Amino acid sequence: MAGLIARRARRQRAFRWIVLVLLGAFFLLPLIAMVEFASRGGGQSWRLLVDWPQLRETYPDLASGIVASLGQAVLTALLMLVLLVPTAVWVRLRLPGLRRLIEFICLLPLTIPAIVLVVGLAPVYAWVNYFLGGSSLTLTFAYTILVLPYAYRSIDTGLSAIDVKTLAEAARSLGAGWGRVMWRVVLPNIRSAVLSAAFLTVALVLGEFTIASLLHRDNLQVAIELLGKSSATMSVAVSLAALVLAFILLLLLSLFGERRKASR
Amino acid sequence: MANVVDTPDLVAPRPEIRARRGVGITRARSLLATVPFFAYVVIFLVIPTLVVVVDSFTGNEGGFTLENISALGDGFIVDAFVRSIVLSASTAVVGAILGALLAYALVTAKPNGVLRRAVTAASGVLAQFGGVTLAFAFLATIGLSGFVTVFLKDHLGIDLYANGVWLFELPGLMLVYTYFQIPLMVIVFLPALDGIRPQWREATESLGGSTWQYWTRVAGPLLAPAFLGSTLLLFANAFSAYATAAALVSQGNPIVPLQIRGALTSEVVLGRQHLGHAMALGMVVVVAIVMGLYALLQRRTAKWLA
Amino acid sequence: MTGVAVHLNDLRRSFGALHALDGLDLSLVPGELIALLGPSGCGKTTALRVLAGLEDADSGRVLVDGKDITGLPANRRDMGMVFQAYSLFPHLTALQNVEFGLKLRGRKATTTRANEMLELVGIGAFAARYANQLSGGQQQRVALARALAIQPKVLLLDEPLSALDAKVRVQLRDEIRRIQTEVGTTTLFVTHDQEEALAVADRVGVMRAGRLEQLAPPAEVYLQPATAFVADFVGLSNRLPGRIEDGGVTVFGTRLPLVTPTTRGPEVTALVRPESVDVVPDPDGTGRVLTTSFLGPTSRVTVEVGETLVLAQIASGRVGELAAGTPVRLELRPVPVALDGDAAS
Repeated sequence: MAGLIARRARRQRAFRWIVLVLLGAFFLLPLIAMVEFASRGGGQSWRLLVDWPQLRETYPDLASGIVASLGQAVLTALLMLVLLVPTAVWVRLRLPGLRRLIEFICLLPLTIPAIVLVVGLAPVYAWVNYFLGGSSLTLTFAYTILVLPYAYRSIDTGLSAIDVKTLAEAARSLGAGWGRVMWRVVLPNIRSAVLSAAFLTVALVLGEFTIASLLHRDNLQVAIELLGKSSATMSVAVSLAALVLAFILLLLLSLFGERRKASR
Repeated sequence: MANVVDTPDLVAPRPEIRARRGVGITRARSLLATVPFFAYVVIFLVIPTLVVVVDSFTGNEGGFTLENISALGDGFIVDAFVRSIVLSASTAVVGAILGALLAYALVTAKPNGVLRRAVTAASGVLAQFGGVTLAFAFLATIGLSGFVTVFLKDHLGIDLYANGVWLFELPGLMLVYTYFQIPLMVIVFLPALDGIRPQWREATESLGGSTWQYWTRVAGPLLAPAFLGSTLLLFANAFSAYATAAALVSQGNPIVPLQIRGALTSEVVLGRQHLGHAMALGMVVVVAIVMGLYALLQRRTAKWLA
Repeated sequence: MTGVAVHLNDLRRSFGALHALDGLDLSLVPGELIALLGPSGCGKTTALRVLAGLEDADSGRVLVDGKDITGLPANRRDMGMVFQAYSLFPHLTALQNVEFGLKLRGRKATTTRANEMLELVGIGAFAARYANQLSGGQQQRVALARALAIQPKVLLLDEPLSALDAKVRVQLRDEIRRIQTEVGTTTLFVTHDQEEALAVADRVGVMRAGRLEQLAPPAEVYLQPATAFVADFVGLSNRLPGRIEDGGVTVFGTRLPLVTPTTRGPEVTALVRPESVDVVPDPDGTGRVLTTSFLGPTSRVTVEVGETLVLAQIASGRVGELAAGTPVRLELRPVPVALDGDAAS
């Protein structure tokens, strides 16, 4: 038997492995190099990473950058949720005509690069400074705009999947007020969409550099860049740690997504 | 809305009018709930955008002027745009081709197998992996004292930077950008590849077509819009990128985002305060055009390969 | 145009422990339409795909027009194929789809021929439409035109109507039969719908677990099922207790002839078709009417006889006298029956 189909399958498999090995090497190389580089000098960098008090003493700027980024991530996630979820649900239920507009607005940040946005943000932030001071946490306002496209898409998909309209109508016909509908009917059902939006937000905020740097504020990435000028090995170690953290976050996100699909 | 018969005896306003006004009030109240969102977006998105647009046309003394726009024609700015376009186009094309090959390799594997899920997840992470961390990763790899640089010099006698340190110039940026362009291509192009039905290949074969004829007459034309659209998306992505270049390039401002950095940190020639705004406007125009074309191509793809 | 003879000899194909084809022998007479019928997983689609060259058999031979084409790649087999779904190329119009095979072979005047084929299948008016502008039935007509345009030696239809609405299915299967008879191409038609198979085929091949249980004209498959599986799969069957006597089987007092003689006995289960069962109101009868189902020209009556439920199919005019609870007796027509547990011949 000629086994032509089997031969084609074999050729495809060979192609697959060649491509994966070559590209895999390209992608793994910098990661391996980072590990090697950061381990120079006796692995001191790794020890510092897990020793917070020592880290704060040796690299105070880095420590404050980490703290600032964490605060920004949490605040941005909260602000995004507070702003986006009620609006998205409300528009679906009562103002379907506005949906296109909201969608367009939420996709706009994709077309307006961060570097452009920061140019226009400077005067706005002058006012923010006036009212709220120059803390790094005020970057939350800008970051919430940056995450809009990803967060909105996630929440919108979640709302599509559960037919919000029917749920809300059912709840209302049973006598629930709007607040209760939101809190007890809609929210629990889009939990995974909301969580995934939050994860994406955190990943994005932890990786943000452009706006923080050009508005002269504190931030993990800004701190890493600064660190690069003084201690190369430490900066690479922290970069790798940040990357691993982002990887874990996105991995958890994809696992969540699978669990949701499995339960439906 | 029920229709009520008009009787002249009614003193109160007719129910239909009342109902219509009622709907109007409810409508207004509904809109009220969206005010926080819109107010926020206006302050932090619309106003900055307007600032960029308006200030591009504002002279140093505050009046309307076109000199910022015309200044975009200056040698060094045109060079920066050209270099940005070259960087974005080259990494988009290379990323598109290699990414498409990788995506094709994935689509021939088992659909829910470990390989495909692992590589897709890794692509998701690496596509986001940009900015400072990526720059430092490459410094650790092929920087002046990087892993590979040292290895080549010690074991093979090759000096990567014999002709200058290209890592901190356009060639270096091209190499580093490819690192996140390829995974982005995989993510964006894979759904289109999934939309290619096996029946089309089998139909081509049973009608007498060879593999070449299948790719040139069926799969090629079907995937072309998706491939082109994805390439455009990669272009926009590279064009907008700032952090990676900012971390790698400390001397000089070869590309437009770095020129804007220069304008904001007042390295620019005195007397051209709003040049940065004009450059930002230029960037937005380019990205908007590219994204518009992308959207058009996406619609075609969805029609054929949904 | 006359068709060619097709022979599938002792085809075997296994996927691990699963035998998709277990020694399949099938011959098609030139110009005939054979319907391969069977439940999911019986191997009918595998058989078709091996014939098409889209799958390899582990062993066995495929002969078309006297030539052994077992080792020939699919694109050199000169066969036309219609798929269950996603038949058409979405980026081409109906006309361009039909022209596709002709253009591949470098023929001239492709447009004229393509238009002719579209007229033949009844949708000449939609030549300029794309797949997503055509209904399911229309798409399959175009697919048929495309397959026939290249004047293939064999026409292969892989459950072409399964994805369509019931009404369109009936309409289209008659069309397919008409066109196939007109063009004269030897055709293999795979389906899991037994009514469809019986309606279109010259001969019906009932398959199970990779082998043919029976290959015969539709009437023979229905009225003289070779095995219990065929009797059960094609049409409805009652399972009624019977006793072997005098070369036949006695069921409810009536002696019925057997399709195949048997050495089993004396207690067996006979497979009796509902239309062979008549229901007569009888105050002394042993049966009682349970329910009736109005199906249009005929009706189905479920009768309880002791512990057994019997399904009978009668003319609808008589349903009036068979209200639920009416005592009745069953009269079985002396049509040959198969026995449950008969192995494949």
